[in-house]
Amino acid sequence: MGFGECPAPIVGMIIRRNAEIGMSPYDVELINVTKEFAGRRGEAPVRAVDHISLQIRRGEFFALLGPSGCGKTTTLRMIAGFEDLTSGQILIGGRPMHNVPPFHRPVNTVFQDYALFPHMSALKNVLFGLEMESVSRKEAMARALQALEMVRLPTAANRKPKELSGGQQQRVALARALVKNPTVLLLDEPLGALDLKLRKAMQYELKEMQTRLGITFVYVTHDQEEALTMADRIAVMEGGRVLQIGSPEEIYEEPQTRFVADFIGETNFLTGTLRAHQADRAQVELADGQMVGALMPEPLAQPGDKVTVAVRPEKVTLHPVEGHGQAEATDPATVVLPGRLHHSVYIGTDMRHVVHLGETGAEIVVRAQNLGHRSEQRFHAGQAVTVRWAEDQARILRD
Amino acid sequence: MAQPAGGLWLLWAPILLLVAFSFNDSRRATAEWRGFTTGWYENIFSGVMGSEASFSTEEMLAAVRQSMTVSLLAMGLSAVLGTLVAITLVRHRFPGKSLLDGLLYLPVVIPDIAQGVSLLVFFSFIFNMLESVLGLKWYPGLETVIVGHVAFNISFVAIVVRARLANMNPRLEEAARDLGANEWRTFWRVTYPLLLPGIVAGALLAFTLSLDDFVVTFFAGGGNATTLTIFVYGMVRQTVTPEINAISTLMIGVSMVLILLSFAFQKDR
Ligand SMILES: Nc1ncnc2c1ncn2[C@@H]1O[C@H](COP(=O)(O)OP(=O)(O)OP(=O)(O)O)[C@@H](O)[C@H]1O
Ligand SMILES: [Mg+2]
Repeated sequence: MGFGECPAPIVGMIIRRNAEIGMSPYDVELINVTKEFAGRRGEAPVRAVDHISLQIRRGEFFALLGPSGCGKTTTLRMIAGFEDLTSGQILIGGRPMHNVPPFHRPVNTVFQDYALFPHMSALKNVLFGLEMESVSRKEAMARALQALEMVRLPTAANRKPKELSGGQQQRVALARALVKNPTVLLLDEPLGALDLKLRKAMQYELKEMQTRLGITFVYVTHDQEEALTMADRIAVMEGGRVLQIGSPEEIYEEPQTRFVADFIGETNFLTGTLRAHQADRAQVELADGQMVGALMPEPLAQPGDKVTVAVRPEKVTLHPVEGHGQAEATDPATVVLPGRLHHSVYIGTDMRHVVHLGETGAEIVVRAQNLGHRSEQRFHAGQAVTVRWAEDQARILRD
Repeated sequence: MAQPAGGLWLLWAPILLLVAFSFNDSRRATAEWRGFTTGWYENIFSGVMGSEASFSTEEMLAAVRQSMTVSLLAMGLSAVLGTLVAITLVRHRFPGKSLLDGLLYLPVVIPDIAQGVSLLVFFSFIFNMLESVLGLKWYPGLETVIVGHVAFNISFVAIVVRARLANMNPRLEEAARDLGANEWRTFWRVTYPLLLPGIVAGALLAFTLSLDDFVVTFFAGGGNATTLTIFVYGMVRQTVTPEINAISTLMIGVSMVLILLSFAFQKDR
């Protein structure tokens, strides 16, 4: 699998280029960047990007993740030089990019719709970027063929884009950008147009190639799973702002806002009132008077404030209530809430149970691995149950 | 449904009649059918005169040459200028843009006669100025006809090219710049080749309109330009001969071929 052996000259050139860049440990820095588009006649300007600061490390696979319209493409286009900044600054390799046109920036872009030149063959598309440099025709040809080989497309060299499949076009777009030996590769939802199976295969190949070539990737996606599996770090965006930056694990395990917890995977939210706060532990009183404990590493709220408690479905366990619906005693660091099983859905590897809690009727989703035990069949809709989770698996979130 | 569609053929009746009479074996160009002949076509090129016709092949060929000169130059100039106008309109923002957008259709919609008269006035004014200020004496001729033709052809070229440009993915030009091409190279390597079918279509349209034009040529030429249409008009003023039918039929044929070519280029390639 993968793109085959990376041709040695390309690796060599990348290493050399990285050495030339100098001291800044960051390949791309965005400092307080804002972008406003002029509104239509009489309307207020549209703020597509709102005071974003990012520091993208050399050789990092950095994902910009967020829902449609959150400003991902605009951010990428400012790095590439296609959009002017309203305010703020962008540095690439430590150099300010103000007034540097796209053709003088050490970055290349893989466009969402590929933007292959329709009047040129695949090979001509890849050669284009080299013809713009002072590279001899012989060397250019050799490098272009190498690049096509690297994306495993050597046989399609003479075909026009419209004679290629979506996956093949994607590879040509990649080869066309990579043959330039960019310091930073910008990718705007590069796999968005591919079917699921091909997307999975390309995710693997892209990641593998990025690691091998050591190129910095800035990768735009709205697919949280794609970001989690591929990226070294993720910036979660919403409404033109960056809400949280961190490793996939940090983003998933320690979401700081309700939006992030909701956007990345599935999360249960319980609302209540903060009653006590000690060290990183908080006690929250739910609407029905039940007290639950949760983590609050930062003092986000004062006692008396309304807060949200978040807990992932796979951290919750489901238990049948024996006898007369009395929950048996458990250790104090475990939250136990009584409820009624509303329904269960079989989803292959997992079972997904939806429980309605006691008096408040709040909904809790429980995700249990489908281990095939007979015990799974103990549950049936309408049954009285308890849901439990360890206190330190639940977190207080900012709204 | 079929009835009105069938009736549409009536619109073509005069043209069909003209074509038929160009093959009619009768000296009287508008009389009844006397049998098929290609004799009038032979007459055009051999210079053989009918008794009442003052027809000279040499004069006709001279007129054809003038027509070609005018049409080719008007086509070339309007192709370049019309393309620039289209690019300006699609790619740039400037005050008065929507006004210019609307003005583009002016030569398409105003009557030929008004355009002709306006050119006559315009050139008279310019020539008077030149004479009084610089003492230069200048007369209307092929140059003024060409300017007149460019004036209306620009619009047709710009409209056709603009349609193609508006359909072009702007990411393509960005991709070129991303790969290291400056504005100039982006234009010649990406924009221009992708626009070319539109430019060719517009140019063919311009050539045809130029070749077929009578009114603007008549006014802008001030009697010093004898293109084929002017030549035919001059003959018709005496009498309609079968040779005129033949020439007109040839002109229709050439125009139709050019227009079909233009449409073929406008279709996506
Ligand atoms: N050229 C423009 N003029 C006006 N508004 C724009 C322009 N480009 C983007 N916007 C607006 O800026 C916001 C962010 O757009 P952007 O394309 O960056 O979103 P995105 O995160 O890439 O979304 P998607 O996932 O749908 O591609 C949107 O509200 C969009 O309507
Ligand atoms: Mg986008």
